[in-house]
Amino acid sequence: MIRPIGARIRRAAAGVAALLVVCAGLAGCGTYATESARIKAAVADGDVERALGEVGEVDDEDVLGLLQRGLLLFYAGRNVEAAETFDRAYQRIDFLYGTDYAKEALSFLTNDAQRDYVGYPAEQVLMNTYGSLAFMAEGDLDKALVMARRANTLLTRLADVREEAEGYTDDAFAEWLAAMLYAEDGDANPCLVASRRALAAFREYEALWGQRVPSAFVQDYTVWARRFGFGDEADALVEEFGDVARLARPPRRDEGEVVVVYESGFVSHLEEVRLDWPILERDDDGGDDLARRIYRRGPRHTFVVHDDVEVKYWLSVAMPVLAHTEPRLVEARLRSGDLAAFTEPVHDVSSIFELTFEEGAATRTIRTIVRALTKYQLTQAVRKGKKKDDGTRETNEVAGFLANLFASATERADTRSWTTLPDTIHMARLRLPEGRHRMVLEVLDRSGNVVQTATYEDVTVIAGERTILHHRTYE
Amino acid sequence: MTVVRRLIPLATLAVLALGLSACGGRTVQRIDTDTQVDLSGNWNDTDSRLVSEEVIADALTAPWITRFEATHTDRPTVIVGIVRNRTDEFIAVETFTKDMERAFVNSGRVRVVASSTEREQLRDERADQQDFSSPETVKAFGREVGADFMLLGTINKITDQEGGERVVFYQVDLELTSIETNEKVWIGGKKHKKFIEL
Repeated sequence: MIRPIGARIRRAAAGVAALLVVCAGLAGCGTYATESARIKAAVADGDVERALGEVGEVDDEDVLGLLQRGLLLFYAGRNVEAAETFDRAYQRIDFLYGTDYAKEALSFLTNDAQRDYVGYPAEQVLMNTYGSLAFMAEGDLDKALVMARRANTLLTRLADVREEAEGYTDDAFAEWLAAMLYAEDGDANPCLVASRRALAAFREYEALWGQRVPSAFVQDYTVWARRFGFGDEADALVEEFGDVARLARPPRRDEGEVVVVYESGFVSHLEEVRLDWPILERDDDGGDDLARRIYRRGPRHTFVVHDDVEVKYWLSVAMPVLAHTEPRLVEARLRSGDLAAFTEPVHDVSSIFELTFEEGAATRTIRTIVRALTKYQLTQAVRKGKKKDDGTRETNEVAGFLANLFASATERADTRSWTTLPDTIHMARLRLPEGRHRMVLEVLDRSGNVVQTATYEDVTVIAGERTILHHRTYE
Repeated sequence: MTVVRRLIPLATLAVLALGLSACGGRTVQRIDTDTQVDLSGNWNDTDSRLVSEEVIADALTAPWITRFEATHTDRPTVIVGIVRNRTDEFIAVETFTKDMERAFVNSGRVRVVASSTEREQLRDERADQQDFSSPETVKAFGREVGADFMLLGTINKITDQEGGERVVFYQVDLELTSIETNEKVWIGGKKHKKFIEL
């Protein structure tokens, strides 16, 4: 039957429209990038309330939204709400621990952003660390411990699935924080175990990116080892760390501790790199060197399309790559009267995120290749027309074009990540007599100049307890 | 080719249906409180009820009450103290500590006095009464009933997981200790295990 040209055009237009609707739904990442940029811009302005407005109320299924919202609530001092939000994210991640095969299959036809976001391992641990900090700020030891144990559960799970014990196998900051809480609870064994694990992880960070073992941690560990009767362990710390450990002493009876958690910059984020490789009609001849030929041809913009060359298919590949901006402000000084303490980096969020991101590189690359090949094969299947009487096949160019359009338009890199996190977390602490104190936090640039000052009037210090202060810079 | 052409709109519809399926309303129905419903595999009301049933039955039939009654003229008085949650879940331990208080009181064999946090509120109220209540209704200080025993406990959890299967072991330990002598007069508890397919 010969169809009128008008009908064929209408049918093609309807197909394109349907495809565009599907593509818009399946590409996904465009909306995420816009939203993420808006939230980050509000955070960078120091306007946490506006950032919270940008995030809005978040469904239980939106793990990334919950992470962003939880952190902003923490910055806004709404600690209980923050911890509850991280709890919702934890429950969802736990629920998604198995595999959603339907979404997995869909991601092979579209892009990785179709899969449920469960966070990178470092993000999963960090959400519980923030949950612990939130409950610590509220003085709720039991709930802070629940969050710390969750971080430990995740780390144990992570260690179980690792084939080789390298890379991000433990989290020094999470372990240290857990040890602090166990010490406060008087629970000797878990405190010492967490301290040992923290030290091992800090040593690994030192080997990987040169971050020194924080002296505050060494002092804590030494004090706990002596307090719980592990003198040999304390002596070993003195031998390794010298005066830092030798001079460590527990707080006096009338003293409390003010801990400032200072966060600087923004964590490394992900950007999309996209390449479109032409596959030509003449590639049908196959040959052993087909892959090499396509590779040498180069992606779009380097490949010049001549009149005599017909492009059969644009093979689109999109991959996420790391992007990082070094923060300008990297240190702070906490002062109260004549006493002062400098912050030390305790958690290099960017380096750890980069480590966990790189660890997934091989899987990501394989998924991208498999997806590209699947899309190519499907397009070719669609393009093949009916068998003719003479045994040859007709080609359906319109269907092939639409399938290629679908394949290309839905190809997006999964650039989702917890973008509001800081680049680095620093800590400083002062032991002060019980009472009310005026505290000043001076933020320093790389040359040691004071560029920002935050004043905390009337900080209450309770003997034997810890008061948490928080400050964040975005430059 | 015809088949493929037919599949495109079908696929479109399926994807749209997938997206729209989230827009359905929430339905709620009331169910019996004894009905066992496990959704996430986490600690829930059923776990709490099982613990309550077992420990209450054990606590009320254990010999510590008769031993106390043999040497005292009054019933034993108990404070239900803190049950520490040592798991990675937020567990509302009050659900079964309150069950225990209720069972002790209703049994008629054990007196229960307020816990430390409740006492603070009561003392505040009593102090208020000294200033604001009429003399005939004001309650006196120094008339509180001192407890003989304190109930303390812990909940621990061990998780074992392989692939999509998880085994969770909960152990609830409760101890009744003499406030005067530190003697533990009753140790009870409940262990239970859950197998969860993820």
